Amino acid sequence: MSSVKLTWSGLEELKAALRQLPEELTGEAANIIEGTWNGAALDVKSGYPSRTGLGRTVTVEHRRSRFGAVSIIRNTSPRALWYEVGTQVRHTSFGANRGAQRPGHVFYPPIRRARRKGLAELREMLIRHGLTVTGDV
Amino acid sequence: MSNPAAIYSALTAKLLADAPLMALMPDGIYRDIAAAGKTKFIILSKASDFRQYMFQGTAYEEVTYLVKAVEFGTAGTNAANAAARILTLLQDGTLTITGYTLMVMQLSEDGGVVEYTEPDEANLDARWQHRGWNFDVTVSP
Repeated sequence: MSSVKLTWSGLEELKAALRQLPEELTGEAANIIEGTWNGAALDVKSGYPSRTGLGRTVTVEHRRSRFGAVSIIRNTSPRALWYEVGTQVRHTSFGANRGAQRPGHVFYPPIRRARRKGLAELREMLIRHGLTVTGDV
Repeated sequence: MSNPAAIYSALTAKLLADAPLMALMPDGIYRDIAAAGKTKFIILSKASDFRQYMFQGTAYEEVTYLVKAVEFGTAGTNAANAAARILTLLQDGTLTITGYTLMVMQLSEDGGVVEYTEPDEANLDARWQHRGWNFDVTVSP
């Protein structure tokens, strides 16, 4: 039986480079993600009127692993959801009824902007590293 | 955007034209805040907007609308059914918008679902039920 042997010079180096690539990209991508979401958290905080106190309960948490990065923005106040999407009854701390409250739309709009900005920056990062990215955000 | 109310008007017209939805929410549709005394209604509220420019014009605009059914009561059955009907009508649905062409209408990636119960502090046993969605409406001028 005949056989053919193909020797691909430099293949081991290429494999090693590909194995290294995710870790290199993770570090850079994590910086982009954390920066983007830190900015979004500031936008959310500054969007609440100071009298509501809701800006003080906004938190941002970052997690990194070898192959990924996650950032989470939360508003820990139970009133934050009501402020975001509106209420039918609104009472002061003294119990006076102030009527319905229109949706505040403070939290999600900066999140949506940040998602677009972050994805665009990640796309640029991949292109800088020589990868081909198709589609857009 | 030449007419910022165009998408709102188109959404309102589409929802008002649906008899099953109006049977569930007979008090109608309100922008941002309902009239006093209403107990079964739909709230439409613009949350955010974004546009992508190109040479000599706008490529597309994306406007996010809160669309929720609100009902006074402890069960919230009508509000839930109305929200389901809204999803059927709007998710990947059609919309005739003056001055624009609808590209796509879908639930938002972030915070798409709105579902909460609000206590009425004047009557501790009473509740307001809120059920609905945030929809991204993408249009081309």
